[in-house]
Amino acid sequence: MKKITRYIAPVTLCFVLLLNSCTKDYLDVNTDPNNPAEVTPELLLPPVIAHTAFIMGGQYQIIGGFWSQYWTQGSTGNQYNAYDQYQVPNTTFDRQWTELYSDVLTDCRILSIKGEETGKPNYSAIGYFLEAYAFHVLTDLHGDIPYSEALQGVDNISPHFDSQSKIYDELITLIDIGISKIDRSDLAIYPDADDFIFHGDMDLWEKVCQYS
Amino acid sequence: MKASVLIGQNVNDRKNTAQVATANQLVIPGFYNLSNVNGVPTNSNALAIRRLWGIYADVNLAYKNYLFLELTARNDHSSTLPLDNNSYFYPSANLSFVFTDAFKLSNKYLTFGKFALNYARVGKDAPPYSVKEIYASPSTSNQAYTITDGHQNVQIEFPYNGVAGFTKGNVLGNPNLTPEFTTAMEFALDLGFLEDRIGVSFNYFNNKSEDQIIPIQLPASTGFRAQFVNAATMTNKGIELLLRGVPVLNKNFKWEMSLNYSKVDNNVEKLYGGLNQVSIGNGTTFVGGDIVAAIGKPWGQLLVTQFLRDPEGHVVVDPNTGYPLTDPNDQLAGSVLPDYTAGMTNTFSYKSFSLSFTFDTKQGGLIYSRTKSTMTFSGTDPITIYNNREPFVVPNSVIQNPDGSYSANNIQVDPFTYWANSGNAVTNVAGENLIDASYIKLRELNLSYVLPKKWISKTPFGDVTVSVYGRNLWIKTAKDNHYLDPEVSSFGTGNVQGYDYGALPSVKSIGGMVRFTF
Repeated sequence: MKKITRYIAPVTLCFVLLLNSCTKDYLDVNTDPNNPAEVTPELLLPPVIAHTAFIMGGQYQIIGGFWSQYWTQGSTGNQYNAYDQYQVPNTTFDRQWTELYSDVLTDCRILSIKGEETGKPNYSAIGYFLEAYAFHVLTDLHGDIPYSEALQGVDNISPHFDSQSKIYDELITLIDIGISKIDRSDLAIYPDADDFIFHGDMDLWEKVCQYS
Repeated sequence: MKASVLIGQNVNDRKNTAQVATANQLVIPGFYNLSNVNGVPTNSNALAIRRLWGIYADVNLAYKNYLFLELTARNDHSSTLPLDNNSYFYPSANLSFVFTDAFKLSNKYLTFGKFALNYARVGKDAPPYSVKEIYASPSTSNQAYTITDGHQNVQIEFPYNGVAGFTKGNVLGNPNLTPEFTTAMEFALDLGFLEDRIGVSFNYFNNKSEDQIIPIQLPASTGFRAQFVNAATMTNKGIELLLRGVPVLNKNFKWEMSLNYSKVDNNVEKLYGGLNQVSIGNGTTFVGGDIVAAIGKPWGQLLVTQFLRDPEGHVVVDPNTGYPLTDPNDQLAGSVLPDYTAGMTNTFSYKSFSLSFTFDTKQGGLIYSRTKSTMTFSGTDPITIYNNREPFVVPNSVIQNPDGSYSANNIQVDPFTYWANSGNAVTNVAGENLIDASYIKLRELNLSYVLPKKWISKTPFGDVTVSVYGRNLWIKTAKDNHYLDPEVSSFGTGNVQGYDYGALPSVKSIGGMVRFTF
């Protein structure tokens, strides 16, 4: 028995030493190798625009066309009967709601922050403009929506719904902030092909915002 | 008295690498090379690494071959948990006592008797990459992020016109994940009677799973769609019973039989953030419904839109049109888990022939069936020939009067609109597309023949057995289920159960087998 105990102690010690010395580095492999952890504003902007255009020019345009009486369901089809008959269950716009908040609006907020952090405030300005646009159409369709407590991740998992009139006021402020971020200095960096709408022409962006 | 001690170290290093290149249009048919493509092949690669570093100790004590005690302890460090808090410890203890040996109880009637008490705690880590957030490209190889309206071939993918793009991942990282633990207590009794011709095994267990790591859905207004969290604590209490017997045994003929029964009561005790219910569908919601965990109820509740009903259960219809109204609030319709499962196997052996068959059954539980919804929509479901497809009054329906009371409805509706052609049509109301998941199945039938020894005496084989078998040959489903085999799940074995998204019918298989032993 004595012989055995003589070995147990050093062997156990080895295990413990091994464990403490290498595990930390060995186990530090939990960064996703398939997707980047950081991106630049130039890479964030294009999907924000594409996604906004896809929703506004797609499903939202269809419902708008029907409810403003410009469109009607053809007599041989039935795809849009629910719109045509104002029988829209509460799930109909789930996809658009989900994508505007979790894809478009989240990315707008990040764009606004990253634009300034990286010395490209024109990207920030477009971030504010597109955020205002998405919230504007959301509240047009749904009325009261989460705004002031929205987009905070787990810090607020049930953001309350703000009144539509309050949101409209806040959106004007948001656009004003965006306009104030526009950088026309000599060193200004303008978006290019990554701005699918105005190719970085900040005068046109400002014009749109002033008129809306 | 015997004792053995084992100390060990376990390193588990798993690396999955997938490299996929797909091409749709070949220029020269039959020539399989990526250069032979009209267009650009789609490429993607996926990597996943997870590492686990554990030490463990195992002590086995045996006293006179009838009293056994096993104690184990283990400590793991896992790469999938937050780096500074990735260590977790779990022990177990098993005590078993063969009382027939200890007290010399064996006699003609009672052959063998043993009871066991087990306690085990088991820790489990998280899926890889659930601690930090990512950015994702809405590309063809990243389907979860392509910009689409849900229809095929209507989507935007990046790079778009040569412009690359990334979007913030929709799953929020969780730097506060801790391991989940299951604590299991078990009592087991094994008895053998009449020289082991009859055997009984009985198990009672009481398990508690704490801090289960689940991707719970977040409201999109948080800016994200899901997060892996330590979301739920639930208990599983239940019994398992196994009876086996040999009713007939003589020189040439043997009939063996076994029966098993298991019943588990599952209860969700605690949920993330003090919520009463969380979605566990990981984003795979279906039209008008979701799969949730709700406090005080069994796991996997179907939360669905339903027709509005009066207190007596009649369908409330629109007083002007006669079509059913839907309940403004989604309702919990019941669990996808069964009430009990049972099975029976019989084996008849005559000389070298053996015939065995196994039935099993699952009773209770619900399925949302997209197959039913689709068949209702297209009119291939026999329920749609109600009233010969002539206008009818919605069966069992009432109208709510302005004073709140209910009165009988006599407004006729158009069958096509009722079944298929409106937002509130049967096909679109998830609660109308739930079916009972119960079934009885002939799981397996097997006939085998062991070749006579003298035929193979000159070969190197010990035994040669030839058999034919059939699996899944017969099924009886619940009365309201003429749609599908309830065992199908369109989403594998994860949390999303009880959900048929137009699943393919299950397969009957018939086969033959030759088995050699040496």
